[in-house]
Amino acid sequence: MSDAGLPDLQRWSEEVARDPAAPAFLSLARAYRKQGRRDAALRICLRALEHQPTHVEGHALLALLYLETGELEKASDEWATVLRLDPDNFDAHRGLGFVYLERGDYEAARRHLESAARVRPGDPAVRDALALANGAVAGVAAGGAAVAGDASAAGVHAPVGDPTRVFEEFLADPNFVGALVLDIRGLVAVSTVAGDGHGGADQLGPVFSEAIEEAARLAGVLGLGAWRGIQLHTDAALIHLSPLGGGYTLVVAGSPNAPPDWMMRTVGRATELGLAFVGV
Amino acid sequence: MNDRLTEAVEQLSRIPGVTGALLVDAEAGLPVVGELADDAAAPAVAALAAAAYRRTGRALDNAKLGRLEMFRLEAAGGNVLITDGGGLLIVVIAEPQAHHGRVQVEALQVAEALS
Repeated sequence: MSDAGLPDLQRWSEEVARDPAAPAFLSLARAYRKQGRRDAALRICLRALEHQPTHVEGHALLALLYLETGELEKASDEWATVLRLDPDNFDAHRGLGFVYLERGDYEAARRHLESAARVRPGDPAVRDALALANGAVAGVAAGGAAVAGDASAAGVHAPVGDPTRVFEEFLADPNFVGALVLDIRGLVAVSTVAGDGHGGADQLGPVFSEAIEEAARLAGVLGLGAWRGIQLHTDAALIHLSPLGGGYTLVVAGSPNAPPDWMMRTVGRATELGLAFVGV
Repeated sequence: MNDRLTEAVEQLSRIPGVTGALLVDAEAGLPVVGELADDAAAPAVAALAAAAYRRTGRALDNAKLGRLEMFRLEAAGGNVLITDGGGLLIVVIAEPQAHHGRVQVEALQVAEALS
């Protein structure tokens, strides 16, 4: 296996230093993004696009970089630019679909997600998001309740009951560390955490959203299809993530010393409880 | 050193159902040695596997959920296991019907041997 990465980075850097709009700018910016050097990746993209304002992939990469730094407006602007240049661009339609879903503009979300689904009918994230958007639009049209900007309630039975008590039955289990349900935005919709209560649970959404995003990318490049489960073993916990359907994700955490079958049994029961609560 | 790494990859590749095994420089995200069904994909797989492990590990550590020791992805078309040993990531790709307990045990053995 040849070690071509570092010489490539150097070559790309030299080309871009000579000419900011050199084709290598995209490879260099992507490499910096993978290394977590987002500011450097942003600078390279912005400089290149000054000289090549119609570079579709450059704008698409810029949108991702803005998304990752939480600048949704700028990300949306870049995706809108991509669509002016490439009206059927999957990533731009998907990105805008999710942004509109987040904002509660379900009609706009549905338009973009339908466009994305036409390009890639099998994409599971688009499929789930579209189900939410369609449900939300139907709910609004019927004058229904529970659509007030909350994507996790849209289109399905609104969750009822106390979200901190959904997994209460596990608290007596000494191996149980916690269980969460994340909505399609990666926000914690349900949480039961042993020991210190659920005060810190809200912070965990981005942690697990990151794992899911990375796993989906890896599955994509390997051609493995939709992800069905992620297991994370740390020295402090054994953590299992699985899709619940409807854009929801179940997270179960247990002691690293739990018996081998503990996680599968607990995930099975937690799935039943989670589905019953969110009404998928 | 390279013989040891090559032997490690061969050990993992021999497990029934394993379709690829890769040792990755954890810091640089570059393939060191490996056997994949599509060798041309090795740089991308190495980079993504390293990013997945590093970013997830950092997020878990920041959330005080411990130090990441293994990342396992189950997908419709197969599974991917990533663990670390001695500055290298051990990446194993297997079919859904592979014996995942054996894959896990042998990947952890390789990780320990390389540490």
